[in-house]
Amino acid sequence: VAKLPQIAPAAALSNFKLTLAPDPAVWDGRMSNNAWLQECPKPFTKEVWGNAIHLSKADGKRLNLVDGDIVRLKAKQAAVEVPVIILEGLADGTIAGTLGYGRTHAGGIGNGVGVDLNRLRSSNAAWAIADVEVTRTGRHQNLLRTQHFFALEGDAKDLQPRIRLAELAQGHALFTPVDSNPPTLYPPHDYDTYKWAMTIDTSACTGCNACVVACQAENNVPVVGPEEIAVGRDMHWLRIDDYVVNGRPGFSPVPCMHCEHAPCEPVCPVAASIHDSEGLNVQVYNRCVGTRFCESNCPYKVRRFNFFGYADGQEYGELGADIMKAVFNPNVTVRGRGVMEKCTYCVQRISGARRNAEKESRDIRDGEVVTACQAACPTRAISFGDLNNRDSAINGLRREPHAYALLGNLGTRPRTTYLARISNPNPDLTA
Amino acid sequence: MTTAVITNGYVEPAPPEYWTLREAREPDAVNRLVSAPLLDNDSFTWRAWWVGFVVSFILTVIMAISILWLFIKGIGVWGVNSTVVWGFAIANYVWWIGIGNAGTLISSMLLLMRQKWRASINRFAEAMTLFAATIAGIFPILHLGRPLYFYWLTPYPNTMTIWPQWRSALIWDFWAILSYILFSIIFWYVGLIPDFATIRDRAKSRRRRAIYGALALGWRGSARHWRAYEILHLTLACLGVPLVVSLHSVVGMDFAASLMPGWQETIFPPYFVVGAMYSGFAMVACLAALVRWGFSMQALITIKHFDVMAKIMLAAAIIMGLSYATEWFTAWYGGERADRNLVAFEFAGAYWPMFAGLLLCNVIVPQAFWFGMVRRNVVMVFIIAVLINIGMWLERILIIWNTLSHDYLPSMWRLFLPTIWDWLLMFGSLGLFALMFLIFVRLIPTVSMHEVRRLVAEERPS
Repeated sequence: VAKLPQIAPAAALSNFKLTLAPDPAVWDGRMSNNAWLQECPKPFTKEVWGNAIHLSKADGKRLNLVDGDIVRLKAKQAAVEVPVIILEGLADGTIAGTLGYGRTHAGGIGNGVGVDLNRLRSSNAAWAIADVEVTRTGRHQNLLRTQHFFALEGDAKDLQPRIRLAELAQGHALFTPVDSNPPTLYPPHDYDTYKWAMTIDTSACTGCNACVVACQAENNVPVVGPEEIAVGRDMHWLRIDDYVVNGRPGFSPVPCMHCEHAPCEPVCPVAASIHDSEGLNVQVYNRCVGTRFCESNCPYKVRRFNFFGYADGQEYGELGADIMKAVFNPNVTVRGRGVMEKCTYCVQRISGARRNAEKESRDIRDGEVVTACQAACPTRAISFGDLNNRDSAINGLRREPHAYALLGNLGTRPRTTYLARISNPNPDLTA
Repeated sequence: MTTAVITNGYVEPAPPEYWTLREAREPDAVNRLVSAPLLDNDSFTWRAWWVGFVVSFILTVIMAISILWLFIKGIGVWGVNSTVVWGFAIANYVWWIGIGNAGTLISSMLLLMRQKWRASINRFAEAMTLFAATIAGIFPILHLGRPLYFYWLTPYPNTMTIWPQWRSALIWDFWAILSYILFSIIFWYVGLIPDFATIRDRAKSRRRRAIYGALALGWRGSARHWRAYEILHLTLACLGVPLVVSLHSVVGMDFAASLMPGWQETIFPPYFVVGAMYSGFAMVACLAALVRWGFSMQALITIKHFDVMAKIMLAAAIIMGLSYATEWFTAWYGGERADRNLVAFEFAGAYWPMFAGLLLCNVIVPQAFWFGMVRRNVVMVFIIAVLINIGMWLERILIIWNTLSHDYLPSMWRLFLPTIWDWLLMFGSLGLFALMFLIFVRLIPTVSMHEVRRLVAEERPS
C-alpha cells in the first residue's frame, strides 16, 4: 500500500450555525446560584458545573476535537473560548450551546462557573447565530461529568429494551415476566404487611431530571462540588441512564432496585445493609463501618459513599449559611463521613402514611405513599405501591407485557421494575 | 538427584546429598556462623544495615503520616470513587497476605514432606510471614470508612444485642487473618526457643544472657525438652497447612462470594492459594539473597537452595498461567455478556499495559527458570523474584480495578486514578516491612541453628 499523504485536520472552520437555548439545569442563569442545579447532570452529556458546546461527530472529526478540547468561537466582533462535547445526533455544521453560565454576580455558588455565550448574541441574532468560526486552541480541560466515561458496547438493547406498538399489540412475549426468577438456594422472604415496589415507564420519561433534584431535596443528599465530581464521587441517589439506539434516545432513571435477593445484604459484615419486613432494602447508617463491599457487589451501582464529611460543612449545599438555617428535611437523617447511603424508597413518607393509617385504624391506601421522585415527575413515569394489595395499580403495571426487570437474569428480583420504551413509527416512513 | 551407582554387581550407597557447604558441616560451625551477627559485633561493620535502617525508617514515618492524614481527612484522600470503591488498600492487603503465606508453607508443608533443605531458610521466611501478615492485617482496618468501629466485626457482647453478619466473606476473612497471625507468632516462637538457648549460652555479656535466657524459657536441651518440642512443633506444622490453605481460600472468597463478573468464579480459592505461595516464595528468594549476602552465609544458604526455590516458582508460574487461561475460557464458554466484555476490557481496555505487565512478570519471565544456569544464578533469581512480586501486585490491583471499572451497567463504568496518598501508604508499608525485618536480623538468629545442626548431622557420611 502506497503511503498516502496525511491531510492535516483543519485548525479552524467557519460557517457554523450556533443555536442557543436556556440551559437544562440553570435555565437562563437565574438558577445558577443553586448548587443542586449546578450539580444536576445534563441530559446526554451528563455535564455538571459548566457548559460545554456541542458539535456533531463529523465536525469533531474534521477539527480533530475530542471531548474537553477548548475551542474559540467567533461571531462578528465577539469571541469566546469554550470546551467541546461531541454529541451524537447533532446536525453537521451546527453548534449547540446553552445560556446561563459565566455569571459574575450570581453568588458564591454560581460566580465564574462555565462560559457566558450571551457575548456572541446580538439583537438581530438572539437564538441562532450564523457564520460562526470555530478555531482549535490546542488546550484541553477535564470536563466535569457524572457518566459517559466509556462507550456502550452494543449493550443498549439489553439494558434499555425497546418495543414497537405493533409488536406489543400482536401480543409478542418479548420480555421475561418480572416475577419469573432464576432458581435460588435462599429461602423466600415473608412479607405479611406491605410489599413496596416501584415501576418506571421509560416511554414516559423525558430525562428532565426533576426526579433527581427532588430526591436530593427530600433526602438531604449533599452536593459534593466540582472537586469531588472530578474524581468520580457524585452522590445522587437517583441517576438517569441514557441510551441512544438507532439514533433514538431513551432514558432509564435508576434508583435503588430494592432487590428481594439483594447482593448488598449478604456481603455486609456488620449487617448494616438489611432487608425489612416490607421488602425495603434498608441501610442502617449508624451501624455502617464503611467496608463498601455493598457497593462493590451492587450490579446497578446505586449506592453512594461519604468519602468525606459531605454533610458536615455543606459548602455547596447551604451556601455557607449556618447549618441549622440551611434547608434540611427534618424527617431524614443527615449522614456522616465514612458511611454508605442510597435510595430508601422515601421510607419517611411510607412511615408518615403508616402513622396516618394507624390513627384511622386502616391499611395504607393505594396511592397514598408518593415518593419524592414520583411526586416531581411531570409525565407520571414513576409509580409506587403495595404488591400485597391485589388491586393496586403497581400490580397491574408489573403484569404489563412490556414490563421488564433490569439485569433480572442475575436473580436479584428487583422491586423497581421498568416498562419498555414503546415506539410507534409510521410504517410508510420507516419502510 | 542422587542415584545409586551399580558397579560389578555391587550397589554402592548414593553419595550423601549436601545442602550446606563444607565449612558449615560441623554443629559448632553452624552456631558460629549464625550467632556471629548477634554476638560478635567486631566482625560486622553493619554499614549496609544502617543505610537500610534509615531508609526504611523514613518510609515507616511516611506510612505513619499517611495513616494520620487518612484518619484526619477520611477515605476521600485516596483515589476511590463511587464506582471503584475499593482500591489500593484491598489490593495491598491481598498482596501482603499472599507474601505472608510462604513462611508457613516452607515451615509446615515442606517439613511434613521431609524437604530437609528448608532448615536454612525457614526462620527468616517465618519472620517474613509474621511481618507481612501483620501489615496485611492493618489494611482492611485502614480501608474502612469508619475505622474506629472495626471491632464491630467481632462477636462481642453489646447492648444492641447484635452480632456480625456471618454470611459476609469479610467476617470469614477477619477470623482467617486473626487466627493466622496468632498461629504465625506461636509457631515462630516455638521454633526459636532452642536457638535462644544457644545464643544465651554463647553470649558474653550479662545483659544478653539475661534477655536471651528469659526468651529461651529455661531450655536446657534435655531429651525430654527435645521430645516435647518435637511433638509441639510437628503438631503446629500439621495445623499450619490447613490454616494457610483456608486463609488464602477465604481471601479468594472475598471476591468469589460476590455477584460481579470476573470475581464470581469457583477457581478463585485455589488460585489465590497458589498465587500467595508464588509471591511468598518470590519474596523468600529475595530475602534469602539479601541475608546470604549481608551475613556471608553462603555456606548455609547455597546455590542449590535458589535452584529448588526457582523450580517451585516455575511450577507456580505455570499454574498461574493456567488459571488465567481458565478464567478467559470460562468467560467465553459461559457466554455471559458482562464476563465476556470484562475479558475484552482486560486485554484492550484502559488498564491493558498493566495487564500485559502482569502476564509478562507472572507467566512469561519466570519461564527462564527452565534453564539451570538461570536458577543457579543468584542475581537472576533475585531479579525475576522481584518481577514476580511486581506482577502479583499488578494482579491484585487489576482484580479490583477491572471488575469494578467494568461490570454490568456501562453507565457507571469509571476508572481509578490513585492519589499521592495511595502511593505513600503503599511504599510506606514496604518500609515498615523492611524495618521490622532489619530489626529481626539484628536481634534474632536469622537461620534456625538447631534445624541446620540436625541437617548436617544427618548429611554426615557415617
